[in-house]
Amino acid sequence: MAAQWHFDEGQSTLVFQALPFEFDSFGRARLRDEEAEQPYRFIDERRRDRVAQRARALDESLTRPGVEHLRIDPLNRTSARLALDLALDLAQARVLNARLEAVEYSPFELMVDNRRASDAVAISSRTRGAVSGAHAIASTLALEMAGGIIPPPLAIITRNLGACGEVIADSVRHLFFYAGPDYAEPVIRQANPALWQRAESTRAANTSMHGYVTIAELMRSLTPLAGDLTLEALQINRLASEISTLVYGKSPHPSTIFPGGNGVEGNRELFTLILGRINTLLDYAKLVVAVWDDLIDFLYEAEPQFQRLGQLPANLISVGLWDDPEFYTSTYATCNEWGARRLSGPGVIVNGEKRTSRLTDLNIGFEEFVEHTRFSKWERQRFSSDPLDNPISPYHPWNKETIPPASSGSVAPGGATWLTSPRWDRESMECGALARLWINAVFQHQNCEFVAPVRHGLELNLPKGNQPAKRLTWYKPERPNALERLRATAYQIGYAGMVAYASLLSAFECLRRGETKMSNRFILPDRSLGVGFWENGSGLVTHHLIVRNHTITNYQINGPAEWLASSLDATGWPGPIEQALVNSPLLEGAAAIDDYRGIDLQRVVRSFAP
Amino acid sequence: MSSEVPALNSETADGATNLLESITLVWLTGVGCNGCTLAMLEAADPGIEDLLFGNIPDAPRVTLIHPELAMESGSHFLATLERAAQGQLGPLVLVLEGAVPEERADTRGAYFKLGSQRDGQPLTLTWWIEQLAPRAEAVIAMGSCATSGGLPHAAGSPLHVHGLGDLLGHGFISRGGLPVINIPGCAPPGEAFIETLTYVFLHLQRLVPLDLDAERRPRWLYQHETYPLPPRVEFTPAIGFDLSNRPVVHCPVPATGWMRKLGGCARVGGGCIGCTEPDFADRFLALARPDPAVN
Repeated sequence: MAAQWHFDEGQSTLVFQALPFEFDSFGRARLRDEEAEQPYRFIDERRRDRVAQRARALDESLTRPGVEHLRIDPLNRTSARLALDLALDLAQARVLNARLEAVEYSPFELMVDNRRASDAVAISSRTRGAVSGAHAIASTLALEMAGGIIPPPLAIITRNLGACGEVIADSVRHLFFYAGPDYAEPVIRQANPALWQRAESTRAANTSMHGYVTIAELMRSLTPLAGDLTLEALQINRLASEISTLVYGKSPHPSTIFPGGNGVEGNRELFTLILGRINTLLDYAKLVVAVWDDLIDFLYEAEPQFQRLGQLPANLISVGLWDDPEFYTSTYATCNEWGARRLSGPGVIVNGEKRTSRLTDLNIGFEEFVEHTRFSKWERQRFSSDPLDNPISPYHPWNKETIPPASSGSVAPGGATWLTSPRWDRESMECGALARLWINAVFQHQNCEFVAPVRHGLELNLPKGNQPAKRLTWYKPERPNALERLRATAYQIGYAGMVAYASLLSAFECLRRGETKMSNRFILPDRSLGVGFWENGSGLVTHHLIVRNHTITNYQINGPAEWLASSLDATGWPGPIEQALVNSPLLEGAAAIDDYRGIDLQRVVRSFAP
Repeated sequence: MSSEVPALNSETADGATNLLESITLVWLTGVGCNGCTLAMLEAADPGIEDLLFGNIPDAPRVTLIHPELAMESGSHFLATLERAAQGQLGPLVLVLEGAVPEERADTRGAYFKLGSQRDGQPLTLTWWIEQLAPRAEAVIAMGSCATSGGLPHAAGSPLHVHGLGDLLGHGFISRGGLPVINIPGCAPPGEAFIETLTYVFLHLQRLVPLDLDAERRPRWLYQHETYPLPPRVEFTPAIGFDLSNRPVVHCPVPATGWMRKLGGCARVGGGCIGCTEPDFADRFLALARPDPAVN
């Protein structure tokens, strides 16, 4: 039956609602109206009216007394380099408008062009240090798809282990270096003094796990590079980085990963070294969840408006990661099958409704807009369809050309951003830990034996280490918000740890069977297409490439910063962080704009870890 | 290195020497990827926290100003940088991670900036470096982007960038009597950075010599020679490798591993792309391909 509908408990939702796609009875997508002259023009009247209405309301309100402008430049403690422009109504304690600017140009996708194929891995890795392993893997996967090459099972498993290390390190840095300091004693005392008073007299629920008697003690311990939680986070970050180092040779920027394999020797010693570290990290996973559950539950209770901080409708996307070596066959033709078996599975949810979990649908729904960036638009449409004859938009990454401002011309300073605007079915989508846990829960992916989707969320079954065995239960929230993103990041450490645990069991099984090969020959045809779907702690990493004459002629890199911190798209619709800021209440106690630090807004931005 | 420059220690009335108690470390980021910060965080025994707490004997306690770790953002953060530039935060060491974009009149601050003035004009990285470097007791270029322009300098890059030493000039000497100190690598091991920084702190107090080679790299770390290499593969490559004319690159990793003696690129079967050397992407990537005849 046609795959254009997603059937879910008697209800059905169209997979694509903004893009002009429908499905035939074989589940292949096609244009709804093949005669249409401009099928990809923007026709959503409701969207256009809302954007215009909002612009008018904004213009009116900006002239009101009591409306202040605030620019936070630079916005520190993020991986991407960002500046934030805000229009605030302090009297009504709300954000009227938010505009993010990425202030740094990252040139690497252009630098891959005209180079030989395997050089792409090392170059694209350098797009972002915190995402380097994920970029290297995405590049490798795109090349494996282009060449139709499958690495041996043990190479796939070690690649997964490296990614587990990187996701855990990402998560720890996110929780304790980026976002955590915003909830530490010095900030709470200054920005939310009433909360501090209450924290001093509130007992933590999980004292037996983390040792802090009051929430105030916990907040004190979050003070960066002085509090115990942050010092421990430094050590945990190193331990997780050691796992990546063992597999990648160095961290950041792997030196062992190439299409078709991994240069390290997958032997008993390697996996034992990793297993010892995973055991420690799993004990830590039990602790970190206790810390963040206690902190977040306190914040909700003491100040219910925290539910609205950074709130968004559930627009969630994940391409999944951690391939199962029994199913990974690298090609685009089979990607729905092996995608579905990833130990964190793919999916898209729009406005709380499931749309699809097929990688091909995820791919063809993808458009990248540059209208409000410093890049120029490209003119032609290289491809009208993907390798399976599904239609793709002229804005699809396989059609996109990267056109930075001509170096001899002038570049208008200020206002425009260096991050392009990726959208799925023309919606702003959130990716990262919350998206992954939510998608695995509602799509009921059951590919990791230690992770179970249940009616209310996910159960992670952690084994005994120095701490007793523990079942961590992640509860799917009503709506995404800043604190739930952080809670999900804490649970993500346990998730990645159990994927590593399952991967190590598979690795030892490979050794037992004598399947120790670590690389297969990689030969790239002279003409091909590829896409690498992967993720890091903060979300999606996709590399789209085109090969002609063994040389890369187009390379498009999209990371979590693009999805999360993008600004307006072609329809004037903001990116997820910008939207989340506009929905947020202002809780900081400040009399005048000169005292105002924008701590609420910084909390919202850092909940995403762009 | 200059003996006329006085040590940073203070002398007491009876002629004894007080060690330097505290120092401010300003870490700026330029065009790059933030990977050198991650590498720095990986170092342990000692790690960055040991420097912050003053745990290293005879080394000062460090106050770190770093955009990825700073408590402050926006104008408060910039004000702190300005106070450092005006000498209000005591002795200063400047570290740059990332390359410096060339600033032309029509592109000022467009490709990278660190804050803006009130009228919206961007504050360029060059401007910040020109404010801070003259004040610094030592200036350190961390990572290949900062030492020589790194990957953003390679063929196909639409940017014009250069390293910190190119910006400040070969003859630059810091207040502490040192040239720009280069710690190349993409990224270099964090342990190399922490070790070099510790030696710089001790050298500024005239407690130890600081042995830099002709490229202004710590000699004891970069005297090791190695070669660009492909990763270990389990098939026979289509052609053999010509081992007779391999270029030499200098890097501590083959001798020390990556972190805590683990990993280490070619030591564990990875490739070596010579990432400590200038223009490594154009010179050495071809030598690191697993199967160069077909790919």
